[in-house]
Amino acid sequence: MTVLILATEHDISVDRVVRALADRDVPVFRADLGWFPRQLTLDAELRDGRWVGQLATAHRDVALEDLRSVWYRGPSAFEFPVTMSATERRHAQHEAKLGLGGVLASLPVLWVNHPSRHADAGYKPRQLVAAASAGLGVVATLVTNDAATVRRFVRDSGPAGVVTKMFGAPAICEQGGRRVALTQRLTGSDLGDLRGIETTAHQFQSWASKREEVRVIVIGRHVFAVAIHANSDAAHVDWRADYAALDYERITPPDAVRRGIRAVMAALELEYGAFDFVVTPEGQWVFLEVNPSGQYGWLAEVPLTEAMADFLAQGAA
Amino acid sequence: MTTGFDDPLAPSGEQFPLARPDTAPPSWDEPSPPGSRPWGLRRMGPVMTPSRQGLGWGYDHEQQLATGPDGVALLDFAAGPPTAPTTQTVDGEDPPSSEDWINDYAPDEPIPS
Repeated sequence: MTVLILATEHDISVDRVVRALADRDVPVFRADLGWFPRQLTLDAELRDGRWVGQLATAHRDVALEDLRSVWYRGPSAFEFPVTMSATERRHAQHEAKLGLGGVLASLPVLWVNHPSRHADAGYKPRQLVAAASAGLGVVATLVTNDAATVRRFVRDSGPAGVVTKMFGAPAICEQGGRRVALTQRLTGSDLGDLRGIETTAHQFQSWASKREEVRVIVIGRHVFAVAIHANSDAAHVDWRADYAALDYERITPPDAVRRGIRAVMAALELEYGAFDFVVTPEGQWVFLEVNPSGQYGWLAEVPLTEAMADFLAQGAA
Repeated sequence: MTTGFDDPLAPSGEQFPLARPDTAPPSWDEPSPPGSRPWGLRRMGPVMTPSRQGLGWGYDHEQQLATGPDGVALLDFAAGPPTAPTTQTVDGEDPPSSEDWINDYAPDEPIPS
């Protein structure tokens, strides 16, 4: 039985798991969906209510019925030839998603994570409701496209202040490069010019005082927690802003938090999740978000590669 | 284990989220004026950490591993155990240093190649 890994070609965390699976004599078929259709072939037939057939490249193939698990880790988009018109490419992409994606998503194997659940979990407002329902602490959050409501929310939040952050990816491609906007505390000048709030939905949250932050990685039943101690002002607001100023410490979450984390995973039907928490000076854990494909490779304090390899090798129960 | 599409929140086109390809051409869009540009984008700044693009990485189909410019698996020439200060851009960090690895691209405009 084979582990199917759908990922880009350049992903060191995947490289580590590929090697760990090889060490366990577990067959692996790694592919990037950007290889489809020119370097990756699918043939699948519906027999007795399930899809049988194979995925193949010039280098290897795997039978769909021989898969034990699928690690869905951000494969890149299908690529179609320049000889197609833009309309034809859109058609081809949609057909590929519904056809190839539909076959794969129907396979009765362990998914880490299933792409549909991955997509659903990307909605942060839904995550916050799931977390609150699970008994986890959450911060006051505003979603709005109304400037007056933003000012009211800031007033109501008091002297601690308010941060703003994206719902989705914090980076865009523009002016020939990539640009990024991490979590930011609102200042008086921000509030003085809110032009553009009305153009789309924006997210604001009350500032949660931090003793430290914690990234929790959940792989199946395993919960790994690493405290992130920020040693610069920028990292104190958003630790992604200054990795060099971070210290890490493996910790054990309180039992109530662990139960809440498991409840969120169950509600969102995830097998893998990267949770971010703030721990307040009083020791209260406050849920910020869960990323269904969050990175873990730089957290050297915990055996995440081994845990992922073991989980994928185990397959569906 | 989940296999179904029961009660999805994401529309069908987004239920198979795909990442931005390395080969995607850069966008030369210019920011629109204040008032038109979404407020959240007005605080965008350049990415200060280097991109992995242009590093000469390759891929070994036999080993199924990323390789460096000399064809050696990246895992084999990374010196020492990974730690945060020394492995930015290649060690699976969250954005921005790993912002090439955004996983929810799901483009409406497929990339020609």
